[in-house]
Amino acid sequence: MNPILVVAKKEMRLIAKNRSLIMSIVLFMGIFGGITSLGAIMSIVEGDVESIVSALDSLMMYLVLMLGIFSGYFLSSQAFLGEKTGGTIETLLCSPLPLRDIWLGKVIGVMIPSYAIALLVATALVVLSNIAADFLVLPSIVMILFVLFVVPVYIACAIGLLGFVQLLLGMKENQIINIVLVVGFIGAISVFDSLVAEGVVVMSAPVVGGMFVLSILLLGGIGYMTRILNREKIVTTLP
Amino acid sequence: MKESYPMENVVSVHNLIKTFDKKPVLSGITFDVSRGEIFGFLGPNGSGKTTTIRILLGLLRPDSGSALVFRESLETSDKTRGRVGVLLENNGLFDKLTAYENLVYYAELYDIPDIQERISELLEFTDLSSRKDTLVGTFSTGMKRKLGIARAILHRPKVLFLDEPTSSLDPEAQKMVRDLILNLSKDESMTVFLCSHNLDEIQKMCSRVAILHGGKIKALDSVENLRENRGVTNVRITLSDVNQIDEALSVVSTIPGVSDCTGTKTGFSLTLSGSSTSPVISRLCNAEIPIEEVVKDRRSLEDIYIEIMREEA
Repeated sequence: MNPILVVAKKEMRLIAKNRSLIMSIVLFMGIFGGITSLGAIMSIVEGDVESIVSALDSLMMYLVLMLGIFSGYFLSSQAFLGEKTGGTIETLLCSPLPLRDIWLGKVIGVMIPSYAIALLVATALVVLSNIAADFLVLPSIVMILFVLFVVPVYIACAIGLLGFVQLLLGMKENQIINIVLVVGFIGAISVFDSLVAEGVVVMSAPVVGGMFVLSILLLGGIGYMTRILNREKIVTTLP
Repeated sequence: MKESYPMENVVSVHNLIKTFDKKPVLSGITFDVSRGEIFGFLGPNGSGKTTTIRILLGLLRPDSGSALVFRESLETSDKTRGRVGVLLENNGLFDKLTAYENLVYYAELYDIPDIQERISELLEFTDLSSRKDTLVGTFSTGMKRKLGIARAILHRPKVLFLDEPTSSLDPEAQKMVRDLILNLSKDESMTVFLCSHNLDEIQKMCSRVAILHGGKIKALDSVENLRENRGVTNVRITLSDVNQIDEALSVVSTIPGVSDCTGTKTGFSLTLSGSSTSPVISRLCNAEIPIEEVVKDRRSLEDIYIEIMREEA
């Protein structure tokens, strides 16, 4: 097996075995997702087909991306920072894997469960909307494309950036920077969501395509930034 | 199967200098470790041992000088890192994975061909077969250390860096690890770089040792040479006639290099600077004082280590 995938598999296995972490995420999803979506889903009962689909699209765009990135934030702490605090990173750095492969393996290992959570959120929103409405409600094709292609790459970007920072910096700096990054992501999503709500940006296939290209460029940029990572920077920032 | 290398030195450290926050941690240390050698690296806390190991493993960059393994820097040579086994203070194990899952993870990382057989072999060897499906987080410190050793040699490395491998192990397990290291060195020509505070263990296993203090190497030689050349030998002499003890003491106390002459019930003891007892014996023979027995107490590595530390203090 490719060593990048070996690292990814190990991260997923550790995530699956960390019950307290999974419980925290489920709790967060329930509270945050419930509060945010409850009003919007209830309004579906009174709307026409077009407005219902539009409401569902808007909810999905915001919640699926937001909760996917939040999951990535929770899970990346274990994969990157956890390995530094646990001390196992030193042994991993002595393995034949290049540093960037270690980073990439961890990003993939955290991205897959985070995206799975995002898909679960998307599914839950569709199911709840259908329970609330009298007829079959499905998101628009554009939104389906957004969830399938754009969301996973943005989640990977968030995890990649968080992981990079967690490997590069010490514990105290990480506590501050991680919060700044997550707030930044939330801010960016909220701004984009309000632009869509106000009709400044119309979610269409070209917009989704543009977002996809931007996310790939962003991921490439973060990958390029990992060139400044080196073993000494990681080892000298161990707790 | 033994592998042949074109070069004799597996580890080469030359004039290594490293500072942290303008404080010198290593001040130009130089040594080599040959293939198949068990090399002991000693020194008190803060002497620069861990920094040296980390530089050798490519985890830290030297300010100047070089630290090579198989003539390569491990920082840049991924392939060479694959030939190195490492057991640091941390065992490199994940508490939430079972013993078996931990070993499978590392076996896959190092792309070991016979994963199942190798893991079974090592679990059996470390006496952990019955606990292979137990979470490592529930293991005792000693069990974790044993599993850490199994992990370090899982991929059959050509050189093994061990930092306090027998710490927190019971005497039986310590012997098991010692025998393992000796066998790996003897049968597979594995080079072992051993850091330990257990001087008795170093003395039993290592062919050569380096003693580090304040970032400088204070002694670098075989254990035998260090015991022979560095310093003094304690000698106990039993006389045939205990009535001649005082006379004997006055005879030997004038010999250059003899000190601490003390009478005992059956003779006397003294300290020699050097190891030859012949001046003492010949002087006693000339004085017609019959000798029953001469016993040389060779100094241990621990004595030498403590002496060096005192000199530096």
